[in-house]
Amino acid sequence: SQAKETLVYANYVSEIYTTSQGDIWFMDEVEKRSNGEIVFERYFSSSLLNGPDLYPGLSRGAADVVAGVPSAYNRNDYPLSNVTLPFITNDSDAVTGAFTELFYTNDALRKEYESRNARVLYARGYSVNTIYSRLPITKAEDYNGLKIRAVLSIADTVKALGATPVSVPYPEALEGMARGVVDAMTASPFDSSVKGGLAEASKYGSDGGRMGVYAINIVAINLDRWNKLSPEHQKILTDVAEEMIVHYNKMRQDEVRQNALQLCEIAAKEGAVKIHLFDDAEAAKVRDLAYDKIKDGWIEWASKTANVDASKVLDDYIALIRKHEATSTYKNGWEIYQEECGS
Amino acid sequence: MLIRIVEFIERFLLRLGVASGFLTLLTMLIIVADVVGRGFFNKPIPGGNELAVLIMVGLIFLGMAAAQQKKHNFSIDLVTGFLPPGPLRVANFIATAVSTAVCGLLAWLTIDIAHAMTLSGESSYGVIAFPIWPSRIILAIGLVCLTLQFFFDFLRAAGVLPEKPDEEEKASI
Amino acid sequence: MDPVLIGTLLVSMMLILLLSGISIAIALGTTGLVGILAMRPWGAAEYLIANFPYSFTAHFSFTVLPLFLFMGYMAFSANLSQRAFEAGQRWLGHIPGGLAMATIFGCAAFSAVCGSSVATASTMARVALPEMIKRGYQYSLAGGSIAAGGTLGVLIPPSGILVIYSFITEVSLVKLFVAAIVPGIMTAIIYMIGIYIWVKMKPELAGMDRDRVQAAAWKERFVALGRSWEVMVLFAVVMGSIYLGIATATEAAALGAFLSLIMVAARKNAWRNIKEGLWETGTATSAIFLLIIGAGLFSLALNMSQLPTVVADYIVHMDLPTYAVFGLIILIYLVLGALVDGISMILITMPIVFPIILQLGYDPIWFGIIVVKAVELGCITPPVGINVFVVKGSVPQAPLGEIFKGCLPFVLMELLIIVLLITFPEIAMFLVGN
Ligand code: NA
Ligand code: NA
Repeated sequence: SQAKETLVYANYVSEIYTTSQGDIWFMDEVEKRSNGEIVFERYFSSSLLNGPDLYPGLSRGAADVVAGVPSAYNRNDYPLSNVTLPFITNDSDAVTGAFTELFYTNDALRKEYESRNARVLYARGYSVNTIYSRLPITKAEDYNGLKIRAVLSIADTVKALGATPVSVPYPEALEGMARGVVDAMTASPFDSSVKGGLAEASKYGSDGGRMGVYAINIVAINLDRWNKLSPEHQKILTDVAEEMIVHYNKMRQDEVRQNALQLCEIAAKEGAVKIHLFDDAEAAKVRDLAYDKIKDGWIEWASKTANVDASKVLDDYIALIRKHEATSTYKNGWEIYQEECGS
Repeated sequence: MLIRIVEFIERFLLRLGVASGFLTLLTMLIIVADVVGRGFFNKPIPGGNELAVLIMVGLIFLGMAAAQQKKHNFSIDLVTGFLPPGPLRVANFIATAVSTAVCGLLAWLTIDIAHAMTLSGESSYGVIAFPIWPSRIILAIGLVCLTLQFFFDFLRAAGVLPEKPDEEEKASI
Repeated sequence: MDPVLIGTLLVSMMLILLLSGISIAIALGTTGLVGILAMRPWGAAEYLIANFPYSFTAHFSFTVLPLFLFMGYMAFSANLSQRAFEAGQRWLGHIPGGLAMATIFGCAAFSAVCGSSVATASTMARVALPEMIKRGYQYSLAGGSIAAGGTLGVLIPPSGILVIYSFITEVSLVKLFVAAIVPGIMTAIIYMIGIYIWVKMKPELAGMDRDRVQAAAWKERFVALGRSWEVMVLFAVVMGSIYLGIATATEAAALGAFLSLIMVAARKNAWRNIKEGLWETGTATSAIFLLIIGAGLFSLALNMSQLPTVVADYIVHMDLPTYAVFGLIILIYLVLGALVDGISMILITMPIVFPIILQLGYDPIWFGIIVVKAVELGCITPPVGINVFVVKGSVPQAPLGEIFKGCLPFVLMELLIIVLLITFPEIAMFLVGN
């Protein structure tokens, strides 16, 4: 038998999140399949590293495996990882499959990680974006003049729509929205909006014009550590990672369905949140106003920062997304909501 | 000569403490302006929160040496309070030596990371990109100053420098 | 090596360093560094340690701490403490023990603008203690009511302890502040009733009615109350701007600080007072954050050793009744209270205590209020109670033993209040809602 390998795993959110549950399944499975030769020392809830420190910490070996969002927290180090722009897709599974495949097929993206001493194990698309607000948002023009808590590409999006993006920290904004510190909160995935109490605390909810999936969570391993593992152990990690995606997709779909039903329940209560979804014409208007602006902005910035042609990466990525969409059975939260209790 | 130099540096560290205090004012003004701008004119200060954090880092770390110089850092004298002068001097010698070493290690490591982050242009991205690396540099400077102050305290405990007269009793937080 | 063994070694090392007279921040930090270096290879430890001071402190919500500190200093410079006490005096001065009750009233009012128990106690000691002694009060009642009244400083919002608690446990600061309002007022009222009964039993404490103040005319009472309008305005601005949605908790602190600055600017010696307040705020903030960083490193090392999880699991599986668990926790704070200040107490204990509370399923907001109570209890009990020392420091001729003796009835009242809070959690929770 081989030497015992301890891998230090760090995550910035707690065990209750689906992404964390997926990682727990992955780690348990790896431990089982390696007959305990690989064991994980697990740190959740930022108890080892905060969100922004996960990927820098991974590069320097402070953790061996991390689950984080380098595109949000370490933008300059991981410009290409930000390729999941709003309005590309509403299919989380397609994002999951496409990004993982992009890592294995696109040299520029792989180099982005290797140059930071990291190697992607698997990536996971978040669920679709939501916007919760004090006033109903159902048309593109409803954005005009609002103060909206938003980050990243979604901040650029609401700005393009005439709103003022505000960067109040999430928990403060959640408390503050009821009292008007901000008019709306977005850049919050469908599932966490329900689970985190945002939907319950708001007057109005919407898909915001189908901004879709705008971020991914990436699990990566320190490259030096990876290279020190035996080929057998490497194979176990790769195999389980692949199975993990299948397992995760199922878990994620169940979860989103559950959250959608929960939202139905919340919305059915007296005086509770009112959900309005954008119609096709208005959704198209939102996209027309914002997409080209953020796309061009991203391509220019990412090309400069990564020193590659980022438009090529985006095209490859979108092609992969379409490929995975074709075989995906994923239903996003708003679709399920509409089917189950939409008017 | 040594005494003169130390006195000069210590005065400078106190000045830094004063500067740190004034950063409270700046933090306050930025946040108030941000609230007023957002609440009444729908125009928050872009990067206002990030700027407030940058200034707070200065407020926290630039005042550390002065806080130590003015004995604002609590310690427990449950045991040391009963020690006769001889052993007390030994305890004090060890305490200041450990403080200097630990703080020096921390300062050295933060200089390293400040250097790396400045080269990579570390920044955060909420609504706009905001540079973080200046905070790293300020922080490292603050810890270097604190190490210096601990070192001076050590020199006093070692008898290289004369004791300072007790001007002030311990701070009250 | 066994995690429990490593964890125990770390805790022991920390205690030995504490007792050796090294500053608390450095004792905690040293233990943390040694632990991290021992449990991780150099490269990993290097990044964890090097990044820590920034990662642990650079959070926007932390700006509340210096801002509330500054507001407290400004409130003191603007003599708000004096006026609050005078208002209490007009209303209560003629009742047996009335000056002591006025002191509690003054402490409660000043607490609405000051987030520190020590600052509240030292301020009120200067204002009220000479007055009470002049009227023949004994040092026990006079000193005890100030030391105990000072604890209101961190219970009635704003509260420095709740800020720290909120940061390390990630519990909403606004909810904590709201939850603390009723227990704060209730504590003040119970203190006053307690003083009344105590003085009825031993009238000599309040100078045997010698020089008893005449009941003030109603007009005079309201004029005095009116003169303390600034306290009310500051409290209304801070809590009001949070409620009305003008500002988040952090921003409310900035608004309060700004307003208190204007109040001082309108008075004489403005520049000197402001400068002094800024200097005090700066160095106090630095000292607190050095402590926070040290405690954070200690906590990180302790987490790596997995001792907190093991202890929490153990206690949860013992299946103890609520009172036993809380009795144990309060006992820990009583012992620690003999050694360290409130903020240090929270920072040292939370890594172990908080997981237990979560695992047992208690509400972390409610527990925050209990913790404040327990911490403050430690600050007025012998042999070392920091509030008592502060009273003594402010008025050096006051005999220490007498003040401690005067604290005892308040300790009993505190225990009663803690039992009430445990039995009827709604006292803290009903304003918070869901
Ligand atoms: Na207070
Ligand atoms: Na005590």
